[in-house]
Amino acid sequence: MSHSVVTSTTVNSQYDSIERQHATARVGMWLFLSSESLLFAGLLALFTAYRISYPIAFHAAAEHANIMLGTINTYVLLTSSLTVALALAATERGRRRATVGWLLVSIALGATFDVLKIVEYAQHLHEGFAFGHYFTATGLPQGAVLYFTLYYLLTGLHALHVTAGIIVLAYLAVRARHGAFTPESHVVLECGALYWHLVDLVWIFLWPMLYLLR
Amino acid sequence: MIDYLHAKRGIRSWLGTLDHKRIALMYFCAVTIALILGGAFAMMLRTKLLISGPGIMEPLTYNRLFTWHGVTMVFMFLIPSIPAVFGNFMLPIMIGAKDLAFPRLNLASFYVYCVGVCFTLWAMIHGGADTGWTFYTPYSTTSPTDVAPMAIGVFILGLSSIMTGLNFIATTHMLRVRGLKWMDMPLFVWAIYATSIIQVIATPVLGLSVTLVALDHSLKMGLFDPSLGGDPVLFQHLFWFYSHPAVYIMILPAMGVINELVATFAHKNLLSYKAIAFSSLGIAFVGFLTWGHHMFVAGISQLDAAIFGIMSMFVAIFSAIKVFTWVGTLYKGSIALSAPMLFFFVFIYLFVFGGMTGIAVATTSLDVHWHDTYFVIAHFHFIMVGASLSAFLAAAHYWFPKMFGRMYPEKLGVLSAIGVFAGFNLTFVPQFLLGNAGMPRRYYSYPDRYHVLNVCSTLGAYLLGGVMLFTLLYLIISLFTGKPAPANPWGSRGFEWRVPSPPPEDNFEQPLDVSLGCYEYDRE
Amino acid sequence: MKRYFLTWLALVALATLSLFVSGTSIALSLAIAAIKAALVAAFFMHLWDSRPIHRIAFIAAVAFIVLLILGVAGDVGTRDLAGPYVP
Repeated sequence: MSHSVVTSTTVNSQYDSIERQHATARVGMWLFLSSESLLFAGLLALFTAYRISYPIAFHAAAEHANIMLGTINTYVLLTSSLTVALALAATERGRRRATVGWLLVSIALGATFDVLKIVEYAQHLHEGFAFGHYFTATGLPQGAVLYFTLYYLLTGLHALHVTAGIIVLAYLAVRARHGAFTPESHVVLECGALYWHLVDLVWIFLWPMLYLLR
Repeated sequence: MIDYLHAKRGIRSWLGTLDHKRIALMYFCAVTIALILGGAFAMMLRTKLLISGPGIMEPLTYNRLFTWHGVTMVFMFLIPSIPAVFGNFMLPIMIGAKDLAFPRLNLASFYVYCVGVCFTLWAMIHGGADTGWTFYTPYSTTSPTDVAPMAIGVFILGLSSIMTGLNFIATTHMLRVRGLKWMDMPLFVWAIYATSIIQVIATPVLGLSVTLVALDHSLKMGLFDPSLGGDPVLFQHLFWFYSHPAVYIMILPAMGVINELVATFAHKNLLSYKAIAFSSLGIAFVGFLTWGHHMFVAGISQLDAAIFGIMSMFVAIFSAIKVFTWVGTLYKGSIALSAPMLFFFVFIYLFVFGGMTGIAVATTSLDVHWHDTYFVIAHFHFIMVGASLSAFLAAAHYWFPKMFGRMYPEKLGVLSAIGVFAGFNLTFVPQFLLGNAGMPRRYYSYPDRYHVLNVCSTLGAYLLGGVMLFTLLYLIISLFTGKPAPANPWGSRGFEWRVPSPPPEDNFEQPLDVSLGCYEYDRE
Repeated sequence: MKRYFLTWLALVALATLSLFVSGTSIALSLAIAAIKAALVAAFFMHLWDSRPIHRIAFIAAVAFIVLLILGVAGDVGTRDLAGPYVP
């Protein structure tokens, strides 16, 4: 995330201008995001493969997904992406307080997502829909347990990213409050925002895969 | 102007350095230690195989040792070897930059590597894994040994590899000196760039697959457990999606070194710049389409096997383009038979041999016979040790004057190249024969009729190990007693030879002048 | 600013649409998801108006994700082409 990004005001000796340095930080961030998204690719491939092997079991298992909470979380994350984008727009206009405000709203939305996710997990575990050998629910065809194992892995990995994103946003909010970002120079904020949007992007695919699979 | 080795003093100026050259040297020490360790494991394995039946170690110890050998050599030595040492040192200089794009990330990648090494070594001492470096399920999820810590160690090493690759891509795109176009870059940079793409794209999938093994082993996740309906072959898919391209992480930088060597010691422009540059990218890309050829007998579909088999042949085309270009460059060149050039001959012989047998085992019907035999072991050691390690040694000799400002003893270098060639062939040619005769890999014991070839192989391994230690020894001694090196001892046109040996802290006294190309031997 | 709000409106509308069509086919849901992802990448992440290298990095990642899924699913989906395995 931001450790690859040098402080926004000093030019390091290998760069001929601050613009070049900022552009390089952006390139680095995009490469990081590409790499990061491949982390999900393996799980997506497993999900696809098992869904092909066990179509009926996966349909039956998905009936037990909490579509209500999943859908609320979808709207929450989509909105948080907007608020992060607005924080960036506020900085570009030199409005420091608005930047901090929008970042705080985004953090609140991210926290809402995590809380709802925990509620969902608790509910599933209570009903016996745990992963792997802890799966105790009965009455589902063979292969249904794989749906739940992958459900926990995919949403768990995603929730880890949401949590990491919240930490990044909190860091950005503190920096913004101290006036670290100016309309000309705010590459750290840009990179943090990109990270948050990636978290949103992943969920955009997880939601139909895991919840709308009927 | 004071050079980078003497610009600052004290241990802290090393451990906290942001200078890519110093970080490269720290990596050099670390991967050398990893090489010695992995080599020691190999020696123990070969010693065991001197006799069939019970010998100097228990079967479980043997299983652990070949796992440790694989993990150490692949993840601690081969993956970081050429990119993190010579790439780190040369890439900024070759594109006229004062440093990498993200120096802090570079230092962090080194420390993450160290943490990964320490963690993996701790896991080994603590009980290690006996699964082989491939961690195949379902065995890896039920093995009584400590699979999970080993898997986490590999994950951390992967993280370091991603950081290095990311840094190199950003640097190549953004920090080329004014006037240096893509098609004017040294070909070593192209090779490192192509390698970095694989590192950034494929390594996360490795991280995920070893994490799944760790979770499966410790939390009974059962994702690949057939009793829950899981499919162990899917693990192999994920694992080889990384680990096949990883072979190109090991060989592409080696090819990059060879490009520089051939031009320098033939004193001639390479036969075709574009052919080499684009075949590097071609190998990096097609390398992603061939992972299934490791799974022909695992039960994958015939269609998938056919597609992966055909795609594997394309890698051979790109590799052949390179080999022909190198050999064609020698034609009418003014060849200097220095030690690095001898390592080039070792490389090209072993690479062609290893590559051709690679085509053989990537053929679906032939692979049924050879799969999991010593034939496969010999094949990939020809590439990974024969080609990659001899390129690593070639680079160590070729760039030694630039990195340390001293010359190595030329005669001993020649001796080393000959010794590596003899020792290597004595070790691995018998293994081809053993595999053809049906000896399976990773077996503790064998029937008596395999005895003679196994003894040959072990003697070869001792010779190879001895030559490696000898090489290390004289390189270390010449750090202190070698003749001072001029800026350009080889008469090369390469950009890195236009700066003093060793380079100053900022690499350049004045900005790199690229008006004379790095391979233009036909112009004054 | 205005562009951000329009993007968000489109995203919310598409999410609601995929709720309504969720019973019909997973392919349709995934197609809608792809459009949403493209909107986020193009406007929130500024791929629409940025350096080509950003777009290359993004497209490369997508391409390799698709490649991995196709390779794995292609195996599982075609294992029975030659008839089911009878030992």
